[in-house]
Amino acid sequence: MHRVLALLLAILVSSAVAQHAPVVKPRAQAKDYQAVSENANATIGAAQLSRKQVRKTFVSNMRKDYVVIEVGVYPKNGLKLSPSDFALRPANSDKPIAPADPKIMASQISEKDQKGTDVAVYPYETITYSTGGDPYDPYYGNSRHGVSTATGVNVVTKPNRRDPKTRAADADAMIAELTEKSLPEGEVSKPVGGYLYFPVNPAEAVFALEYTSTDGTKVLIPLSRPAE
Amino acid sequence: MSAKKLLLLASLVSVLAVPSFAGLRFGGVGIGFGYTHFSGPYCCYDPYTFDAFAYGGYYGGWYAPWSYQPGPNKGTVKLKNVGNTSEIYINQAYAGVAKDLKNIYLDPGVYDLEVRTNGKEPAQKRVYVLSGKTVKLEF
Repeated sequence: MHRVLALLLAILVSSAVAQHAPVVKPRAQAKDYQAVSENANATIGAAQLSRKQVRKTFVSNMRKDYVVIEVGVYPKNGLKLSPSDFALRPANSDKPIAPADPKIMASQISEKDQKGTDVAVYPYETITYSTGGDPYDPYYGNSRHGVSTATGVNVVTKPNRRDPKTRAADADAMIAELTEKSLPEGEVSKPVGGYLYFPVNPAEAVFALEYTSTDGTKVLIPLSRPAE
Repeated sequence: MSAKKLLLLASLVSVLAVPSFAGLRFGGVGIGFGYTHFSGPYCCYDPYTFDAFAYGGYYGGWYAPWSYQPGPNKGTVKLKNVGNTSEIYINQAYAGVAKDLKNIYLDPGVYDLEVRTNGKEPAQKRVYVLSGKTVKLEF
């Protein structure tokens, strides 16, 4: 009996260890973020990422379609957390914007990635040394001797459309990236960090992040427009 | 106008004629060397497709998620600040030493990369690879 219990315990411990550490760690303190606010349950730090930071942080190409906010939540006691507790409020509108779902984001990004054409330009220089001509070459025949050079530019254009298998694998990788880097969901008792994605052009307005706790109290965190 | 100038001009025009939505990238300058020798009556190569760059790499019969060969459906991971003798592990499997893996070509997906350097704590990073994209990983 003890052996069975020990085995079960070992399996539980190993599965817990095998789980990934959080991809995005919270900063040391809430005040390390661009803006901070607090309520009775938690202190929340937030910082809006510039386009350059978004490109550096994510492989998924978000273009100008999403506002990305790094959030750190520092609970005072245990609290239930969900990305849907947050909303983005543009300064020029009363309508709050809900966070985007990583699966829908990946689908939309993948769709846009398939459009357009990729153009590659390859300049080349070729040096050829011939000791004799090719009798079957109708153009150069036997007259081709010695060193000849060729220079030019290869221009290769190809559509960005990928085959279905690659496209599906890309979408899966994007879902994994956006989900794993997202603010975690569930009961939290220790500081947690992650990103929130809002489907709006970052250039459209100055924003504030709104957090609604489980008891219905709201906290507004004003964000400043990031430098590009 | 010489043939060379005409060729360069034609290339430039073809680049400018590309639609504005197209992404444009410049490859590296290639310099090749070819040697041909004919001593007999039999033709040993096709004069129409001869190209000093036409010799591709070796594609082995084994499969691994990483490779030394780029491909249209692969993404690239570039390692920075990694010592040449550091060992690289991908999803806990040994991939090679860093000097041979400055560029790692991977199928799209999620990978756990680990760098083991003598005298240092192993460093792990989770990497998301998309086809045609390059990810720079700094350790």
